[in-house]
Amino acid sequence: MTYELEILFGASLLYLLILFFIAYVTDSGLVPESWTSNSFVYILSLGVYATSWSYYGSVGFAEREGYLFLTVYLGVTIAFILSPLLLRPLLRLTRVYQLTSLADLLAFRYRSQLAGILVTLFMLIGSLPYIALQIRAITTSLSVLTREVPPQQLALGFCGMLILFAIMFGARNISAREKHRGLVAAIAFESLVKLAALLVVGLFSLFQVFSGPADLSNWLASHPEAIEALYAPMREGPWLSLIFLSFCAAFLLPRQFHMLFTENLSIRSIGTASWAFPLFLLLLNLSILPILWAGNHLNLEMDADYYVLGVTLVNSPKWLPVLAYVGGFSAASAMVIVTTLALSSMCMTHLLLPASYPDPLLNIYLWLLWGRRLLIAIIIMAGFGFYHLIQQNQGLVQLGLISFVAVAQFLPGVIGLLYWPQATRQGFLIGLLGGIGVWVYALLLPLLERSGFLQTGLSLPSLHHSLGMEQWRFATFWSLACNGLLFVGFSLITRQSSEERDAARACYSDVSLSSALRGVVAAGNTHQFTQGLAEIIGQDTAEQEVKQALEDLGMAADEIRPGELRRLREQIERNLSGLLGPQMAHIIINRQLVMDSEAKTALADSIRHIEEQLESSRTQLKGLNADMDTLRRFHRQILLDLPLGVCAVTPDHRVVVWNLAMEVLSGVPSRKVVGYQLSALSAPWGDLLAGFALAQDRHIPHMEVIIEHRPHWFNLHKATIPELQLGARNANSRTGLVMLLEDLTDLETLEAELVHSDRLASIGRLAAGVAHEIGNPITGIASLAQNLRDEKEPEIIEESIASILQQTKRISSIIGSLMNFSRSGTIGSDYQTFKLRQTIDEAISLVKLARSGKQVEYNVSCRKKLRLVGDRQRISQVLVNLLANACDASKPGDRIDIIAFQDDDYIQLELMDQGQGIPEHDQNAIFEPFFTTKKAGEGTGLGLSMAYKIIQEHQGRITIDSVPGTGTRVVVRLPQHRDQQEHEADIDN
Amino acid sequence: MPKTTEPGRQYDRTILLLLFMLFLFASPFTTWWAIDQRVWFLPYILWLLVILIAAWLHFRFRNHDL
Repeated sequence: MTYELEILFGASLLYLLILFFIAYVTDSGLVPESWTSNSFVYILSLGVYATSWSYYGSVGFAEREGYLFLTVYLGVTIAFILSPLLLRPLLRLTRVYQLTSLADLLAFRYRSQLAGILVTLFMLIGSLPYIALQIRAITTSLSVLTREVPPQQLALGFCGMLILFAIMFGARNISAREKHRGLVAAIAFESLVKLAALLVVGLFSLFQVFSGPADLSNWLASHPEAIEALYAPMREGPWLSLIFLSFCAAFLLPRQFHMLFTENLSIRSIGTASWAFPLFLLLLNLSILPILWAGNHLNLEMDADYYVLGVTLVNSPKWLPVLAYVGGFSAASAMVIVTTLALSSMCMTHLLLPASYPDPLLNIYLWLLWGRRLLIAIIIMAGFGFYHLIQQNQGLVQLGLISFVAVAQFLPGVIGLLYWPQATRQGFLIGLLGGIGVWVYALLLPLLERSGFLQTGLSLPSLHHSLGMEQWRFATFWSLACNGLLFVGFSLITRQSSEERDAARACYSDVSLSSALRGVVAAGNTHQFTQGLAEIIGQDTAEQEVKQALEDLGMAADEIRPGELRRLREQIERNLSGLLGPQMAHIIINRQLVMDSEAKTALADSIRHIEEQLESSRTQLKGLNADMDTLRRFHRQILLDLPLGVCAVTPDHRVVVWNLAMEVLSGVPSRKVVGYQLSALSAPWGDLLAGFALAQDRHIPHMEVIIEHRPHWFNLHKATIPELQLGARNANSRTGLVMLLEDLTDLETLEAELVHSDRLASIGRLAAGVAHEIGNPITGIASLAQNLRDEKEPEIIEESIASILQQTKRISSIIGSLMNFSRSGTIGSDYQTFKLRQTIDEAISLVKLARSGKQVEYNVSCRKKLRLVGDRQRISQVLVNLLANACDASKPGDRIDIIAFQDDDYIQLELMDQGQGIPEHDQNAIFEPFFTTKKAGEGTGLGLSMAYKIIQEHQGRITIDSVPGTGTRVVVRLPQHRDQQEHEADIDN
Repeated sequence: MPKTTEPGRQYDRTILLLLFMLFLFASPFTTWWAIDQRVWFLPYILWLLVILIAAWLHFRFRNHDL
């Protein structure tokens, strides 16, 4: 059976149009995003690993090397099993630092543009044979089906269509953050097609060429050499070398790196891929042996590499060879598209940009986009050129394995990146050059020699045999050994630069953040960021990049906090890294957004950033680090949940801790406070805390603060924190502060209520006396009124009226005193200047209302003009309580002396009674609440404790001096304010 | 003995699976099962076994894939 070339070309064209359609509808959003971000789409897209080598070449490989063909997939399985240790850390790095290729990753870690250039060049040289292999697989498959040599224009047309597709769906925009969903969907579809095609051909071989599994078993029983041919190379061939090579290829090949990391949408997908992708490869390989044996059974006269097509040409439906051809076409096209995209990105950032950086006046995005498109075309055409160079007699596997050994040279560098922070740039570069040297000598030169392109005169096969190794084992072992030894040796004898050390820490799985956060950005606001960047990348690009970074971090454009600006700088570097490559981005940022290395950076300045990073990388922590992190979280939780307001500040008074209690007290969330200067806080917190931070006192008790027109009371405490400089082992002289706010407002309210209750209790005790005092005048008034009814004498009437008015005045006076005394005063009411004598007299008249109060004599010695500043009602309460106690202790006829006088800056008030005195053992407890020596029902035990409290509030002192049997002397000393003295002097004058 | 963290256990299991796979495919045991050609699909069976264990590990620790 033969086919017309036009039919096959038409099928290829149709297939590519379907790919265009899938990519287009996905990119246009016509396909739900949940479908394209599904893990299985991602895993199918990883199927780009299986190229035409797998599709066609596996059968030929199995024919020549038996089960060695499985090594190409077993190594991949190992790499994916190791995803928690290998792929996930790499994915994290590529996502965090926006690294789009292996060259980016290695240039970032070893902080070397040369590393990027070398990796890119080597990757390019290593990949060209592979691209050539795909083109050759397509043209050869066409010649198998048409039995004629296809014209060169066909291969050129194929390349042209791939260029178009890669540009349209892989280089539509330049942003590294933009994932190419259409491309991923199309590549996933390609994987499905090649899997389906291979399975269909396998089933056809099993059930049509053979008559089913039983027939195949019979055939194998009669051909035991077929199974022996499978197993024999396992014992003798380069089994381990090939497993190792495919392990490296699984994530180091440009196309694999691109699909695994650059196009990854969800970090979860890589976990699913750890088993699902090897399963995909297993399914892909199920058909290989049935196809091989079917080809042998049919005695096909063709290279076993193309048995996949060959078996379908015998007694098959007409569509089957076309399907088999389309499967191979899909495997080849997917590889070329993804490899080219990955290589173009590497070439742009590591070859083209360092060689000719665009003028800042140009639109850098457009420049990069068109540069990348041009590179795509150049790379595919270079693959086409290489296809012309190589001899047709090179097996597919040979070409593929050359690329595998090439990318394996990056393994030492990647291992150093993940697990050896001491590895140096020099070690990496020299090791890589050594490995490349062996690769060129052992594989590339022989390939070119066999292709007739080069005559070296080297006798490589004899060298292999003299060392007892076949070619692949020789090339793998010596290139890696040379590379690894040079890498380790030179890393040990050379030193890292500080930049390299920082990058090494960032790459190492135990993240160290301190070094990256040292210093302060010289630019003080985002506008200065834009200005600095515009000089190199142009005004529009700079504005866009700053805006993007602000959006990424959720920052406002007016951000000025040094810690936040440092984060912004890092984010811009990461974003630029995705655009221009890590090294170029690093150079631009270092040059345009200079760090002020002189500025001292406290650990506390970066505390928020470090904590955020620790939270995001928590699942990576293990062992002691995980325990330390648990401890840190525990301590942090204690600080956050502390029922006291905690505010910690840096030496330059920037807030670093603002706990939950502080948020509740102030009503200000921590995100609006942390990083800002204390003085920038809203009223009253800015003044209160900034003032306290500067104050000499370490404790301020009972501070009144008006919040939303209501008084609040706080005890303030502070302590200094010796600050650790980042990177320094010892504390330096700069000190931060931690301030504690103890809210007393509830306690104050409670105390005010108690004071009021005490007053009411006093009134209760006076009630009987009050009734009597009011009752007497009322009786008098009633009698006078009765007499008035019959009285005619105007003089007597006038006299009676005067008496009534006098009695009424007396009642009003008693009621007035009671009302004044009992009203519920608000806490923190304004202090006023009042005459002390008047207050004493009022207190005496209140106490007199009680029966006991009447029977004692009061002797007051106080200047009438003596004034006091304070809460008159509360002072009156103190006097009532003290006088009531004195009366209770006195016998009828005793005298109570009340003396008040000025003593320097104090007013001293003394109350002396001649009562029974206080027993010595009770004297220490008399100011305690609810302590009383009176009988039950006669006293609440609050009187003296309230008096004590009120005098304390007035910053005064109260003492009691009592001798049992002789009497008690109470001394109250209250401060006299300066303005009060002046006021008094004025009055006296 | 201190309790191992969940990520730590995942790493331990991964290493154990790697060693198991190396034992199957890259040790003298490989030569042993390759000498006596039992059934032609034996390598596929062993490969499938490794994949199933990897899948079990993934579902066991998938909460740590975040």
